[in-house]
Amino acid sequence: MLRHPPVPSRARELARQLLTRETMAPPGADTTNGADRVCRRASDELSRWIGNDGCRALFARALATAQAEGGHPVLDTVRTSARSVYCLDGLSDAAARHGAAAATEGAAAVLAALIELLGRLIGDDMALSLLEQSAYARPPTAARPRRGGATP
Amino acid sequence: MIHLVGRDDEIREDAIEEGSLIGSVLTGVPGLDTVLRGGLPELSFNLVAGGPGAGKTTLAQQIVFSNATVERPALYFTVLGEPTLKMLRYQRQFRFFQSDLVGTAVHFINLAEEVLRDDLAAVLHRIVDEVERIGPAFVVVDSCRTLGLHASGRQASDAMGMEQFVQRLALQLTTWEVTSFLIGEYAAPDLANPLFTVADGILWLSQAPERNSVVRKLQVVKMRGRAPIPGLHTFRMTERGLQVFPRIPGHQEARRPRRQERLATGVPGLDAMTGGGYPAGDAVLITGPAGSGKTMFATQFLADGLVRGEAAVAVVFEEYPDAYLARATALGLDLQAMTERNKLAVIYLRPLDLSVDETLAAILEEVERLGATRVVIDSLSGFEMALAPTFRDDFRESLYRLVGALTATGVTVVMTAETPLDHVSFVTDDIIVQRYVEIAGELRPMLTVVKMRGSAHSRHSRAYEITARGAVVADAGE
Repeated sequence: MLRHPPVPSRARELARQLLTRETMAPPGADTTNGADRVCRRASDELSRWIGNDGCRALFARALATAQAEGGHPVLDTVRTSARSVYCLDGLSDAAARHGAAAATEGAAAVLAALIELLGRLIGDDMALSLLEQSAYARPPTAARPRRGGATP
Repeated sequence: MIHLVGRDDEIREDAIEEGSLIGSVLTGVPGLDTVLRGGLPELSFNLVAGGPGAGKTTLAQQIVFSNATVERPALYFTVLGEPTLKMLRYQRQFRFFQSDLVGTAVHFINLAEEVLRDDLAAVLHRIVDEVERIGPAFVVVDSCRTLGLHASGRQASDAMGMEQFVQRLALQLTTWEVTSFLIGEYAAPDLANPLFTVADGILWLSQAPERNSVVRKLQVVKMRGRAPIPGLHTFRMTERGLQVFPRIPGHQEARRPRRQERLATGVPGLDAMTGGGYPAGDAVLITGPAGSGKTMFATQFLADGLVRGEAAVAVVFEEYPDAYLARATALGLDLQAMTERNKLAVIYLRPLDLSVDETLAAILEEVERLGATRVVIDSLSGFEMALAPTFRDDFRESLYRLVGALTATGVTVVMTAETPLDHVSFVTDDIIVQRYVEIAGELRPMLTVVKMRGSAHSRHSRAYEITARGAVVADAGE
């Protein structure tokens, strides 16, 4: 059986931060699917960088790692989808069945495994940076001033 | 070599010299800006072409990481070639790669989905959309060859073709004031590709295998608004990225005026034979059989300069610097101390795939760093062996260019050789020939000053001795 090394704390810490940031939404905001939104945003950002196939491959491996760790029954029905742009299918439904807290724990495990895997591939600094960026809105339009000072 | 002729090659040299019409983007690639005579034209649309493994992606990323800032970011579009993750994995090993710039100053964006739909219009739309959103100063598309292959496989006649795509892309990127790079695996037959017509600049990278060595070469096939140094320039890829060695012109444009002075040879008795020492700025050849003391003569020349406060560079090919310095120490010449005081540099070159330009770059770097006036190359036979086969085949030309470029800087060059005189003598100003003569059943070393260009010198042969303190020419009472 393939055994995975323990997920480093930096990756787990960032995963928790991303999820906490999402669940600390303004009053009235939908927090039940916060975990799903974080994963969706990470999926969007990574797809933009490395393409849908590359992103799907990363999420599939991260999901397998998190499932192999055990202790996250919420992940049992979660799958990576080849048809959807979003890389994780079923997290939102699983949250409805197991509760938001369990979904957050499961998502944290997947994200931590994802960051750790990405870190092994392209270095921890870049991996952490990429996932952190996924938490923020897209960069503003045409930030660079044009010659002559005008922005088209 | 690839030739493109026509209107594109016409250069407004007056505009370049004034530098007022088009700004420059320095590439950050050592040597390349020299080849380009001042960097790339700002807002130019460039093609970086070559075969697999030629260094195209590395070159583009080196330029990008050298220039991109948060205020003037770069967009790096990847297509279907090397997966982005793998590209990042390998490229981050280069020293120029700055992880902290990724995502802030350098944005990687994958275009695989659009390309897989075989829809160049969608690809263009996505690129323009990202350019509008990020406002980059630099854009790279890696690789456009993949785009072309997909476009050529399409059936729809009314869809955007590659030519239209390239033209629109160039228009959009220029309008958005972007300096751009399209990367592609192309070969000479692809020159009919519309991309080559639209591109303002074409940098062609190649690997030339010969026997067991490979020499990497770069050619600026085309660069609108610039007059780059023509020819094939060798380059090397190390952990620092690409380093280009600009091809030495056969005739130096700016040769430093000769100093009307003589440099002592450091060998007692030899100054008198040479009419007062070696003329400053000359190329001197000391040739002779094995064990005749050529290296010693050259080392004494270096040591003499060091004693007088001059700086020197020794280029050794046949022994390690430690061994070279130790041998000098045995003669009472503490050259090790001189290296520690930055008065002497000992360069050891023996990779067997050198280009003459790379050798010259290494020597000139040290000459400039130390302000050296004396250079010793020991030996030409070793230098020839260290060159890649392609340059060995034309050693005369290689040596001619090397010596010409070195002496143009004003340094005095002493070279040693066992090779036959007719092989290299034409590049030298002065020649000293050592040989063994049998006298009363004993082999004794003799030397003759065969040639001193434009200078009187002894016509006699004289015996010399190799003593514990170096070589000494016998006083013949001439």
